Amino acid sequence: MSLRGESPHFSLPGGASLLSATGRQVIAFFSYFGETTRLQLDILVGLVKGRLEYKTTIAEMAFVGVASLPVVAVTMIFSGMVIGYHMAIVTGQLGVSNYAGRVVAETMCRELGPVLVSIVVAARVGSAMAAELGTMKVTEQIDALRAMATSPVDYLALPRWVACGLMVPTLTFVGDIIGVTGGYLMAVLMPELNAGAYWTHIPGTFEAYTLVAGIGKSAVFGIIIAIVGCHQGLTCKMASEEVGRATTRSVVYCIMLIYGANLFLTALIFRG
Amino acid sequence: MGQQREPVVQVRDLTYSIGGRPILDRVSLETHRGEVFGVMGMSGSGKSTLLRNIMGLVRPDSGDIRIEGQSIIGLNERELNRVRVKMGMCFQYSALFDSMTVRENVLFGLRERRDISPSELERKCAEHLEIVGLAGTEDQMPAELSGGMRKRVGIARALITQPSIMLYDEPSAGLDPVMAAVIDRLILRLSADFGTTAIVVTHEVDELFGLADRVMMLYEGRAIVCDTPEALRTSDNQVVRQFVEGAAEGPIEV
Ligand SMILES: Nc1ncnc2c1ncn2[C@@H]1O[C@H](COP(=O)(O)OP(=O)(O)OP(=O)(O)O)[C@@H](O)[C@H]1O
Ligand SMILES: [Mg+2]
Repeated sequence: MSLRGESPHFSLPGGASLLSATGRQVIAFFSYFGETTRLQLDILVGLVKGRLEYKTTIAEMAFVGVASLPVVAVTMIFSGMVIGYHMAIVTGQLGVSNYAGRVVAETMCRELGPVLVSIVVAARVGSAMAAELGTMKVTEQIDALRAMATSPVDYLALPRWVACGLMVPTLTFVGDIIGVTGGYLMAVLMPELNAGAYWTHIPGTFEAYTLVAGIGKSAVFGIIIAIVGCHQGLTCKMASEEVGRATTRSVVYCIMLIYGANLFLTALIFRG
Repeated sequence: MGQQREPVVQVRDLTYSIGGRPILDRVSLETHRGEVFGVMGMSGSGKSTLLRNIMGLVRPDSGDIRIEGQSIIGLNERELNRVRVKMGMCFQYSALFDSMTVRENVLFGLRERRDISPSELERKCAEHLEIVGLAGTEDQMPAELSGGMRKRVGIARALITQPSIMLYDEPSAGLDPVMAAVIDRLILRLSADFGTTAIVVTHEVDELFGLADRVMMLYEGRAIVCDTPEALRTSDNQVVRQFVEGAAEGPIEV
């Protein structure tokens, strides 16, 4: 089938085939955008109409949130430590080493917390969603759901969407704290840093807005993870190797979309 | 049989293709309340595809499908679900939810019914497992079951909501002769006692002829005959004759 689709291009001059290949990519991009938007709308309709099933949602929240905590903690503590190390040097050179803690906190809450936590969750949870739903598709379990008058979007995607939308921000909040603590550990270990001063400028000058805005960004990333993962699973083609492809694609698309959305949201949220 | 002449599933000139390849070509059928309607045909002749069309799982290219008089063509998924609650489907490869226990699978169709008490649910589950010969398997996972056991859990799962229309895709493939006879008797009893309309797909000719009121044969995407088992046994159609007799030589190209 795919062979037949591609064969005409062999006879075309290179330029034309390049053009049509580009055209296909553009069409693929817009149809992907359209399909995921459609999925998002269907999920919102299900949410508004009260079709959320609490049992599956709680199970998903445990999977997304609780089970991701160890890897989030490891990621954030080490990130906090290396950032703490760099900031100790830089603030020391500038003669403001009392502000090292503040700089670490800002870095964590504005960018590293939301982005790193979301990437970790995308790799762990987004891929699992694509694999699980893709397997269900291939083994006709999605069709069995539909045959039993159950919408796969309401039953499978909606709980995952809610779980990601709630647990990724929660993980980010916890991750922020762990990251800042990691920076403090570094301050204790490094003699040139005044560990006692690490926390002094954090509560005083650090704005709650920064923390909340970063966590707000992570809620968007969580939703991206759920939509991309569920979409890849639900649209998986009927072969087991396609489940593998869908899984890989879900991670790649999540990461690209998270970086893109982060740039956009950062410009929107943080001004001056 | 005492059946009323009330059409329950009507298919008119159903045409369906996958990737430009025609699978079903102007297939028509009509079943009545309480009838057991058989569909036979070679492997790959489109039997499962026909059931998927009737269930609204795929959209036909053209033609009409009516369930109890209502056309399902052009309905969206939520509208289709209102029709599907009257129907049950037993999948060829069972399609059990592999992350759930047998109990959760069987009771899936009732999970939103707040009016049924947990003990009543438990009783219903046990009863339905009992009639497919799987009493006591509630806590097992689908992966721990044999293919034939999975198939029977799939039948119990489809029956739990007491649908008035049942679609069986190879209900007894992979079952031993005793269990196959039990399932056949179950299908007949449901149609006699509750007026359940059954569409049974299989390539087991003898089994189907003992079960169905009428049998349709799909060949190369077309419904070439549709008649009573007695008439089909003495059919002059060479394709039907070869298929019914299970002969290697004949007009069917292998
Ligand atoms: N997803 C699909 N993609 C491409 N072709 C398909 C797909 N599903 C079914 N087909 C084709 O449709 C035809 C009919 O398939 P179907 O599963 O309906 O056959 P069947 O009569 O149920 O066969 P069997 O008795 O082996 O179950 C086959 O030729 C098959 O190749
Ligand atoms: Mg089949």
